[in-house]
Amino acid sequence: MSMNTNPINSKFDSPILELKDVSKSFFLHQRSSSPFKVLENITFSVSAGECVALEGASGMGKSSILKMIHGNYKVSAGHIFIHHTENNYIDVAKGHARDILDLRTSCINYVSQFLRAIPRVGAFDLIKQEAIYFLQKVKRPQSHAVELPTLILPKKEIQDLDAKVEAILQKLQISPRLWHLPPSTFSGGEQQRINLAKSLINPKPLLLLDEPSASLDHDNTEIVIDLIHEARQCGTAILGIFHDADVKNKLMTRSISMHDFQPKP
Amino acid sequence: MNKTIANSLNQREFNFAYLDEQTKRMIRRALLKAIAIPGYQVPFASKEMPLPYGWGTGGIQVTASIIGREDTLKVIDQGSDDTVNAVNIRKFFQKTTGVKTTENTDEATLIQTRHRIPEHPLNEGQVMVYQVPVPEPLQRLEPRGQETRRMHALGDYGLMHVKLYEDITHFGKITSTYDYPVMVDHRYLTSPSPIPKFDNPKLHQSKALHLFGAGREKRIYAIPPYTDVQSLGFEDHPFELQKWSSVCAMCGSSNTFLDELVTDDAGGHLFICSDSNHCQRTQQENQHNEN
Amino acid sequence: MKTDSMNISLQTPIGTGKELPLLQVNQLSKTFGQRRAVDSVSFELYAGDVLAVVGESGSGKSTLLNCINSNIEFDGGEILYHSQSMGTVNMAELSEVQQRLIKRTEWGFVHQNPRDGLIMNVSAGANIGERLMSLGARHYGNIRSQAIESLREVEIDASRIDDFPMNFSGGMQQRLQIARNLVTHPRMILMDEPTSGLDVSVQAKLLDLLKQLTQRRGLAVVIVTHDLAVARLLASQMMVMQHGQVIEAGLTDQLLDDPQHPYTQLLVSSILQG
Repeated sequence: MSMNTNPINSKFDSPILELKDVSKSFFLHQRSSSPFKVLENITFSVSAGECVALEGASGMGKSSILKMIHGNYKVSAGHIFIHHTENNYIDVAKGHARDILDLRTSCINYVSQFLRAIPRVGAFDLIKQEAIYFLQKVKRPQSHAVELPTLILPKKEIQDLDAKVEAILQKLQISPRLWHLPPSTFSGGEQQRINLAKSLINPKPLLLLDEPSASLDHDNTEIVIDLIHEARQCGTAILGIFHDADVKNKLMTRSISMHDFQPKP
Repeated sequence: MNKTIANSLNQREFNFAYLDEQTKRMIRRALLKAIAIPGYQVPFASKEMPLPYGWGTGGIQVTASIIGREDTLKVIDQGSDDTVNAVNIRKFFQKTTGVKTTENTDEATLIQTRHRIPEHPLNEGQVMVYQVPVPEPLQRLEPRGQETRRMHALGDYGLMHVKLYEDITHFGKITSTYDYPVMVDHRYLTSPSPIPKFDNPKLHQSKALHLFGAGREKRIYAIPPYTDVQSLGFEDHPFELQKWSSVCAMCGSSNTFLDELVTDDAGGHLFICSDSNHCQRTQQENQHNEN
Repeated sequence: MKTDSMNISLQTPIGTGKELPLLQVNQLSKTFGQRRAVDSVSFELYAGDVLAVVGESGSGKSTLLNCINSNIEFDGGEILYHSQSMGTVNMAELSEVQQRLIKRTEWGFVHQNPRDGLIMNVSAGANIGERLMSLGARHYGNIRSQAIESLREVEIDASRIDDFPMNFSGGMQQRLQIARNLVTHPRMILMDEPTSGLDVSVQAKLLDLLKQLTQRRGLAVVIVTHDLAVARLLASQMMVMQHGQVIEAGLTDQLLDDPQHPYTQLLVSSILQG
C-alpha cells in the first residue's frame, strides 16, 4: 500500500544532498580550553532514489553527520547543500535559522533515536499535528511573506488526514488502545514506531534515519523495511545508520565508511 | 447682639453677586474654554462659598460669574421652585444682586438647576447652569485621574462601553437611570449631571447654552447651543426613555417626568410632575380649556 | 478589521517573495543609572517565527520585551515594525494615538501575571469585548458572539462567558488573557513568562495551545522565559541573554544540543534531566 499520495517531485538520480569538506569540532569550555575535532574531510552526496548507509563503529560520529545535515549540530567547516526548490540549494552550514526551519518542514524527514514527545498530547494527535504542519506549509509556501493569513483547514481535508494517520498507525501495528495516550508512557519500540510514523506520513525529498529499527522486534522491523523501501521507490533520497546488518543489506543501495572522515592525528 | 453691630452687618456691602471681579474673570475664562471645547472638563480655582461642598457651590459660582443686572433668574431643585435649597439659593442671589426672579421657565434668562431640566423647551438666549457632584463620567470605573485624562485625550471610551455591556449581561438592560453618560459633539464623553435619563434628549441640539459647575471637584464644562449630544447605547440595545404606568395626578400630563408620592401608610401613592412650574401651567391651561 | 479566516487553495500563491521582517529591533539599549539592562540588542522577526528569549533573572530579557512594547522607554536604538496600514514605521516616530492603535490591534501582550492583563471585576466576555468596543464595536450581539468564538479558540467553555476571571483557575486566566489579545487578530504576540506560576500539567496544556494557535494563525511570537524546556517546546528560534547582551542566537534545538558559547553551555548543562 502506498503511503505517498503526494509523489515527491525529485528527479531520480539528481543529487538531493551534498556534503563538501565538512568538519566538526566541539569546544566544551567547561572541560578544556581547546576544541577537539571529531570529523573532517566529509565529502559525499546522496541522490533521489538512493539509500546510503553510513558504516563504522559507534563513537565515530555517524549520528553527528545526520545531526549536522538536520541543522541540529553546528557545522564547523565546509558546506552541506540540500536541494530546496527547482534549481535552488540551501547550504545548511551557513546556519540561517529560518532557512533550516524551512528545509525541515518541506524537505527533510529526520528519524532520530529519541522521541521528543509533548506532554499530554496523544500519539494520534502528535502524528496528525505533523501532517497538519506539512499541509499548512504546502498551502502557505511563502516563508518570507510579511504576513501569514490564518489557515483553517476544511473539514474534508482534516478527515483525510485522520484517515492517513489511522492507516499508518495500523500499518505500524500500534494498537488503537494507545492512540490517545501520550507516547512518553510507551515502550521503546512503540516510541520508535511513533517516531517513524511522524516522518513517513509526510513524503519529503530527504529522509535521515538514525537506527530506525533499534528497538523493534522482527515483525515490526520487516514492516519498517517495507515502508522505507516504498519511500525510496517514490524518489526519496535516504541517508541512514543501520546497526542491524540484515536491515542494512536489505535497504542500502551503497555504503560510505566513516574511516575516511576521522581526523588525522 | 448689639444693635449697631447688627445694623452694620446688615449694611455690609458685598460685591455684585458676592464674588470679586477677579474671580468672576477667572471663571469666565474657564467658561469660554469650556464652550470652545464642548464636553471637555476645564479645571478652575473653585472659591470658598458661604455654603459647604455638596450644596451647589459650583453652580452658584458659575451663576455668580455671569449674572447681570438685566437678568431674570429661576432656581429649581429636583424640578421644583420651592424646595429649601432652591429657595435659599434664589434668596442668596436676590440679596447679592437684586435681580428679578421668576418661577416661569420662559420668562427666565438664567436658570440654575439641580437634577432636572425644565419640561418647557428652552429658547435661544437662555442659559442653564447645572450643579454637578462628580464631573468625571468614568470616575466609578477608573478612579485614577491620570488614566481618565488619558482616555479623554485619546477618545478611548472602551471602559464605559464595557460597563454598559456588563449591565446588559447581568441585568438584561442598561441600568443607569440618571447621570446617563453622553457623547458631546461626537468627541467627549460627558456626565450630564444627575439629571434623569428622561432629560438627556433635551440636551441634543438645544437652543440654549448649558453650563456645568462642580465646586468640590473644581471643574467646569459646557454644551453650546445646537450641539449634538448622544446618549450611549448599543445598536441592538439602544438608549431608552423612562416610562410610567400612570399620568400626573394634578395636571394629567403623560409626557413629563413624574415623581412618586407616598400618600399614606397603607401603600397609597400617586404620581406628580417633577417640574412644579410646568405642572401649574398645564393645570391653568386645562382650567382655561374647560371654561 | 481583518476578516476571520481565509481558505487558501493550493493554486493561490501567497506573498510577494520579498524578504520583509515584521519586526526589526536595532541596537536597542536601556540603562538604569549605571547599569545597562539591555545592551545594543538587535534581531529580526518574521511572520510565523516563534522566538524565545532566555536567560537567568537579571539578564535583561523582560526589560527587552517591555521596551519593545513601550511599557518602558528605551534610551538607544530603534524599533521598526511593518504595520498593516502604514508599511514599515519607526515606533518612536509614531504619535501616541498611532502607537496605541497598533498595540491594541496588531500586537498582543501576555503578562506573566494574568491579573495584569485582565480586568478582574468584569465578565470574561467583557474582557474580550473591551478591545472591540474601544475600536468602535457597538452591536452587543456581535460582540458577544465574537467573544464566544475567542473563548472556544482557547478551549474555555462558552458557558463561562459571563463569569468573572477572579473565579477562574490560573491556567484559565492565562487562556482568557490570550483570548483577549487574539480577538483583534494581531500579527505579533509578546509573552512574558506566560507559564510561570502554573502547575506543570497546566503549563503543558497551555504550551500545546499556544503552539497550535501560532501555527494556525501564522503569528509571530516573542516569548521570554527562564525555562529552557518551554523554549524547546514552543520556540523554533532562541536568543540567550546575559548581562543585557545577546550572547548566542539561532535554532532552539541547535543551541540546546550543540551550544557554542560557554554561558549557553553552562545554562544547558544545568537543566535537570528527568
